[in-house]
Amino acid sequence: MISRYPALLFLLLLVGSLEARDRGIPCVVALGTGSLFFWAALLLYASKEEKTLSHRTFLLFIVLFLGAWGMLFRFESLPKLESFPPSFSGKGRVILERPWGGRRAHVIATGEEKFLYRTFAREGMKEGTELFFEGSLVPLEDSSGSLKKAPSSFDGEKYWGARGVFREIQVETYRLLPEKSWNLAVWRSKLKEKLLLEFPPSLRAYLLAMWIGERDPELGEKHQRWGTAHLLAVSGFHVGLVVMLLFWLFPSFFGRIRFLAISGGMWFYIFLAGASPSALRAGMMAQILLLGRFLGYRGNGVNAVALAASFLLLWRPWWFWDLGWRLSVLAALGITLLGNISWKAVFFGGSPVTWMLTAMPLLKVFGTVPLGGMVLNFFALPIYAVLLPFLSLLGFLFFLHIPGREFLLQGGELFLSAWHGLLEEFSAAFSLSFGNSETALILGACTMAFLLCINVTFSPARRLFCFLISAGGIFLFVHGVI
Amino acid sequence: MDPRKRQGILYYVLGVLLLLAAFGILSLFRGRWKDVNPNAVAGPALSWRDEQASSDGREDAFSEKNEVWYVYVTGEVVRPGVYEVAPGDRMYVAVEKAGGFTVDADRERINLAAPLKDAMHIKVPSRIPAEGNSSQILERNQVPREGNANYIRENKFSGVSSEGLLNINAANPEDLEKLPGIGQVLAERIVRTREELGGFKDTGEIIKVPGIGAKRLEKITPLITCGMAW
Repeated sequence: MISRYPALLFLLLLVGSLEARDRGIPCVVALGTGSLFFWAALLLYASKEEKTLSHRTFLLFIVLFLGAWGMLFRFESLPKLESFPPSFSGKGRVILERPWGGRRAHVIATGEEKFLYRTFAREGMKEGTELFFEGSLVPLEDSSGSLKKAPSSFDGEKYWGARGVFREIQVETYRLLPEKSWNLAVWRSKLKEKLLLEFPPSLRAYLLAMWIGERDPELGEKHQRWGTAHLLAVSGFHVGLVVMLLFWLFPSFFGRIRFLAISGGMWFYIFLAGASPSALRAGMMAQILLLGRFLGYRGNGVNAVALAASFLLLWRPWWFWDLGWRLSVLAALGITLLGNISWKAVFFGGSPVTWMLTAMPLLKVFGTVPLGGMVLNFFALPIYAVLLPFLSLLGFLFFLHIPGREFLLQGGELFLSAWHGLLEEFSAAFSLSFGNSETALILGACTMAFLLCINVTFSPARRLFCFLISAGGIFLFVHGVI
Repeated sequence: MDPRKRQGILYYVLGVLLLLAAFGILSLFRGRWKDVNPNAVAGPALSWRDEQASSDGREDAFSEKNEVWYVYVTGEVVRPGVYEVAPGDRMYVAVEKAGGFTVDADRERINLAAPLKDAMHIKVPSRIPAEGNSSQILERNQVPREGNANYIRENKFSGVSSEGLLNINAANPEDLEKLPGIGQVLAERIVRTREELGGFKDTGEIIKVPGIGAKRLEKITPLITCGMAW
C-alpha cells in the first residue's frame, strides 16, 4: 500500500483529521485520529512485497502529518468576524452569480477579500460587473441567526468557505463602473448572454452546462430522472474530452510547447466553465498525469486522483463537505481502481461501480437515486462522449457566422428532441428508484473495499479478512461523515 | 511459524486495533448538533440576599427580565430556523431575525404586529399559489412549457433593443409570447399591467403582472429590458 498508493493514505489522513475536527475534537487529537486511520490502513494493506515499517515510511508520514497540520491550521484560521471592521466601502468585481432560491447570489471580489451578496432576482448583476459599493458586513448564513442546525441541512459557512467567501455584505449603495472587456468573468457573461438569446432551448442548455458550467433547471431535472445528471456537471468526463481534443490539436511534433499548450488550454476551459470542485479535481489529476507523462514517468491514476483531492483540501479544507468534491472523488477513485485491474473492467464495471459509490452521498441529499441510471450510463457515456463535442462544434460553427447556421441549430435541436424522447422511453422502462440509504452505504462500502483488496496482492484468506474489516470500517466512517 | 507470516498477522492485528481506536475517538463525539450561538447565561449565585429578594417579590421581576423565548420561523423568510426572542416581542422581530421576507412572501397575510408566544411556529405564507389548487391552473396550462419552439432570435421583435433584449415597454403581445414561459394570456396581462402602470420602471416590475412569480421572473430577466437605465 505504502509503495503503491501513498497519496491514498495521505487523503485518508486528511479526511480523518477533518472529520474528527468537525465533530469538535481538539486539533491535536483530530490529527492523531487521522494518523490512526493512516497507520491502520497501512498495516491492514501491508503486502509481503514491500517493507512497510521502514525509515522511508516514517519520514513520509512526518511530511504528510505536517501537511495535515497545515490544512487544519488553515481550517482553524477562518477569519474571525469580530476582528474585521463591520462595514466595507470600495471597488469590487462580480466573479460569480447564480440563482439562490428565489433570489440571486453574487460573489464580489475586492482586493482584500471576497464577499457574498444576495439580492432579489430583479437586482441581479452579471458576472464581470465592476462596481463601487458600500455596505455592512454580516456573518454567513450559519454562523449566526438560527440557533440549532441539523447535520444534514445546508451549511452556508462550509459551502461558501470552499469558494473562499467568509462574510456576507448587505449592500446599501452601489455604483456601476465602466465594464472591462478582458476578464474571464466578462467573457463568461457575454457567452451566457449569446447562448440565452440565440440558441434553441435544448442545445442552449447543453452548451451552457458544458461551456460555462451553468445548469438549466429543466434539462437538469430530466437528467436527474434518467440518472445521468453528472453529464451536466463539468467533471473528469468533460475535462478528459477537452484534453483529448487538445492532444489532437497539438500533435507530438510541437515538442515541449505541446505540454504547455495542453495544460494552458485545459485550465482555460476549467476556469471558463466556472472551476467547480469536480472540474478542479479532474484538472489537477490530469495535470499530474500530464506532468508525469512529459517527464517520462508512467502515471498512476489512483494516486493522481487522491493527490488532486488532497491538494484541494490543503488549499481549502471546506471542499470536504462539498457534494461535488465527494461525488467526483468517489467516482474517479472507483474508475481508476477498476482501471488498475483492466480496461475491460472499466468498460463493463465502470457504470455500476460509479453508481454504487456515488449513491451513498446522493441518497442523503436527494432521497432516491434512479436505478435506470446504472444501465443507461452504460450506453449514455460513450454516446455523450461523441454528442457533447458535436454540439460544441455546432456552437462554434454558429459563432463563425457560416451561411445557414440557423438551420444547423434547428437540426441539432431536432436531434436532441428525438434523443431525449428515446432516453425518456428508456428510463420509463427502468423506472425503479433506490431509496434505502443504509443499503446504499453497505453496497458502496463493499464496492470500495473490494476494489482496494483486489488491487493489493494478498493470499485469498487474508483478502477476505481485509475485505470484511475494510468494508466495516468504510461503512462506519461514511455513515458518520455523510 | 514463518517469521514473515507472523509479522503479517502482527501487522493485521495492529491495524485492526488502530482502526478500532480511531473509531473509538470518533464515536466519543457522535452528537453532531451544532450550537452556533451559546445561549446559556449563568444566573446570579444564590445567597441570603436572593432569599430576601424572593420574599419581597423582586426575584419574579428579575427572572421575567432574563427569560428567553424561542420561536421557529419557516416559510417565505430568508433564513428559516429557531430564533431567540424576548418575552413580549412582536411578530416583526421574529421575521427580522429570520433575515426578512423573501421576494415571494405574502406580506399582507401575516400580522407583523401580532404578539409572539414561547415555542411558537410562524410560517410566512407565499403569495404564489401552490400548483394543483389554484384557479390559475387553467391559465397556466395554456402557457407553452418553456416555449420549446419559441426561442428568441436577434432583431425579430418590434421591441428588441440594440443589445438584443426585448423591451417590455415597447413589445407587442406576439413578441412577449416568445419569452420562455409566457403564453398568450400572460402576454396580454403584461400589456394590460404596462398600460395601468404607465410603463415599467424597471424589469423587476414585471412581477406585478398576475401569474408572474419569482421563478418565471428569473428565467425572463436576462432576456428583457425596460428601455430605461437602472
